Amino acid sequence: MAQPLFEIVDQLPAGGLTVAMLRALDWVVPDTYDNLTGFDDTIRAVTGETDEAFVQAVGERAIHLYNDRSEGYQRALWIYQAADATQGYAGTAAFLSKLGQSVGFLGFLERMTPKADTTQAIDLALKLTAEVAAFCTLNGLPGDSTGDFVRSLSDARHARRMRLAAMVCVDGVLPLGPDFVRKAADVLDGVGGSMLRDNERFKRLRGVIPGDSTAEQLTFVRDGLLAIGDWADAFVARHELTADRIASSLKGASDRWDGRLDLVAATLDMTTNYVEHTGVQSVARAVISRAAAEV
Amino acid sequence: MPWPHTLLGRTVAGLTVLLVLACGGAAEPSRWEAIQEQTVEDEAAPAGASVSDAAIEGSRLNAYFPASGDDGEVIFKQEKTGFAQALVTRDGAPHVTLSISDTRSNPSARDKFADAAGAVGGFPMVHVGSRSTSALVADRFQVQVRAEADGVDPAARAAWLERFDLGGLAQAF
Repeated sequence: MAQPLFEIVDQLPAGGLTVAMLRALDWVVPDTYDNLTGFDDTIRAVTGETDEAFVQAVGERAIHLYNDRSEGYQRALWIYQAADATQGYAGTAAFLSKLGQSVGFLGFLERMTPKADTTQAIDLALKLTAEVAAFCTLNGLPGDSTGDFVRSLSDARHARRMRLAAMVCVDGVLPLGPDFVRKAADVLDGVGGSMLRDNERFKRLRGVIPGDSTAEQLTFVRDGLLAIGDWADAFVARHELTADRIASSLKGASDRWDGRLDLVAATLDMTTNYVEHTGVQSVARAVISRAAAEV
Repeated sequence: MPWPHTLLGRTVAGLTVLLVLACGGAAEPSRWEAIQEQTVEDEAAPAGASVSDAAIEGSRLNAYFPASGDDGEVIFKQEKTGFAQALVTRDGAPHVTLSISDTRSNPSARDKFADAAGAVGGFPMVHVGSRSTSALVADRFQVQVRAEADGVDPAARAAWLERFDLGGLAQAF
């Protein structure tokens, strides 16, 4: 049984590494993102209403819609969860314990290995593919509507806009530079089906990626990446994004994000879950917005 | 009780407190527990669907929304069974959310129109809370405008309702 929606939203953290990372990137998309936590508060924020009877009616309708699997909200949430860090805290904790407690975080960073460009490119492309799949599921569109997705990018708001900005910054520019779309697409050209199949993220997401074979799925993933090229170029140019600017804002948030850019990128992937965190918020907003229209 | 200084000490103390609380009395049930119980799907007792089989496909409702124009750009968002939703922006900023929902999926939504003080296009209209205005078309479709910016008053919201093709919607299904 899926975890109840209200519990998932209630458990969103108000602080911690993921939230610190998102705050550090706020300058990229200012006045866009509120770290909404708590189911009741999210209802009040999305509807603009505080009347408790109304909040109760909307919350009940939202929970009913979420629990109905055929409406797609659970699936969207699952996609955001599946897209995120492979090991998360469990991996970090296991790694730290192998080193011994005396090492501390700086020692941990030294022992991180950067992700190879191929892995970096695959992971970026898969996070993007997950975003397309979740978008289509949330909005009720066919799952391969990359065109609709691309058209929707300029109107992305709230948690979605923050998530896209973080993806560009942390999974795109930071490890691969401002021209990350073309670089990642070139890398993907050299990737074979077996390398894709071995990727942890792909193993979890393959069920939602269109294509009858791994080769077809790889084509869909690569095409999705190229499709956002113009939007990504414009985004990077408009906000004057460079790996150094992003790195320095992250370092400003926490010393633990200081160091070689590729190590920082790998560390962020392992220790933050911005896709899942903001994904929960996007799903909550969509189902609550619908519930408010239906009661 | 003096609070321990070591992490281990604090963890043990914290866990002890939690254990005492857990045994000492049940926490307040969440306001959402009841609806969760009633609607959660499981094999033993499949819950009633949240949408009616008789509800119209969301994509068929799009045609009755206002078109983009001087009043704002209409951007479609969700299209689900019995539900279609769009955001209207002005100069890129959110202005109102528009929606049509088939009340066959949520019949209690019709109750509030019973004593409606207002009307639009001949259909009963009510203001809900501080931001929403809704009309009930052909005793079936709830057409709603929700303000997403300050200053979109009830009269402005009623004007947005008039921009829907309410007559067409009433005749269509």
